[in-house]
Amino acid sequence: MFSRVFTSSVARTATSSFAAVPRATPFVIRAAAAATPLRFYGAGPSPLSVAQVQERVLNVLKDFDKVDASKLTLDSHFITDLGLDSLDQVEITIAIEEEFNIELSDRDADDILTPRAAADKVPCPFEAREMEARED
Amino acid sequence: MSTHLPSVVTSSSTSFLQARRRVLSGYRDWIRSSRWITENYQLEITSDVVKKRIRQEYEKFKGVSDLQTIDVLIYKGRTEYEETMNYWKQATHVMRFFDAPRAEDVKPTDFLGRFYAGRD
Repeated sequence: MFSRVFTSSVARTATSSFAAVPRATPFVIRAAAAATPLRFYGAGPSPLSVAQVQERVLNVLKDFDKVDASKLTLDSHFITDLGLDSLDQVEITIAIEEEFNIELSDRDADDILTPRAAADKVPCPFEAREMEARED
Repeated sequence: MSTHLPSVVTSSSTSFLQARRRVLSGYRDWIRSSRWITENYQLEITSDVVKKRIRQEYEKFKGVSDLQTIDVLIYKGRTEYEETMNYWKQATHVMRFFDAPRAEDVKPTDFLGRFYAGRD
């Protein structure tokens, strides 16, 4: 019984910490942290914006040797516009997983057919931000 | 990944769509594990080479259009994956996929060569 309570509370804190920090308002938290002497350990770096995620997805695709970078836009379809096949599509989704340090479900990964769809599927870019900071 | 990879119960695909999904799911498992394979078997090749070889193996059966044949290939791929991920292989067994084809496996193309090999 204890374990059930424990896991549910962990789950709640996990979901609430992601839900409580919407993408658009990390600045409020930062301002609060600056104004008060308290330290907000959970505040950390702000999550990635949608535009940043999209840009990084496009960069991943540009590095993919079969993709013609001149044809690449946010809405170009992998199979009809870029001339890739289903195996390439799988490889792209895995490259995106590695870029953002996430693991997508099969169902989600099957839906990724444009860079925009890929950016929409990236759920929690906190770790990705950390990875970016480490690379610098 | 250090835990035991469980076996899956084999089942026949009911449609080409389902078979396609299972093939791609298997391919995804393989590609995801390519780095794990090079690191844990301590192979002297990069994970890109492994990925390329996996893709080659999948492309070898590109034209297969019979649903039951596709199912058999799915089982075989999964078996191979399970054996690799559970260390039921050793590095030499993995590297065997990267060997050049043996001389006796190369089919002769000239007329007399095919005659001697018993092929037409």
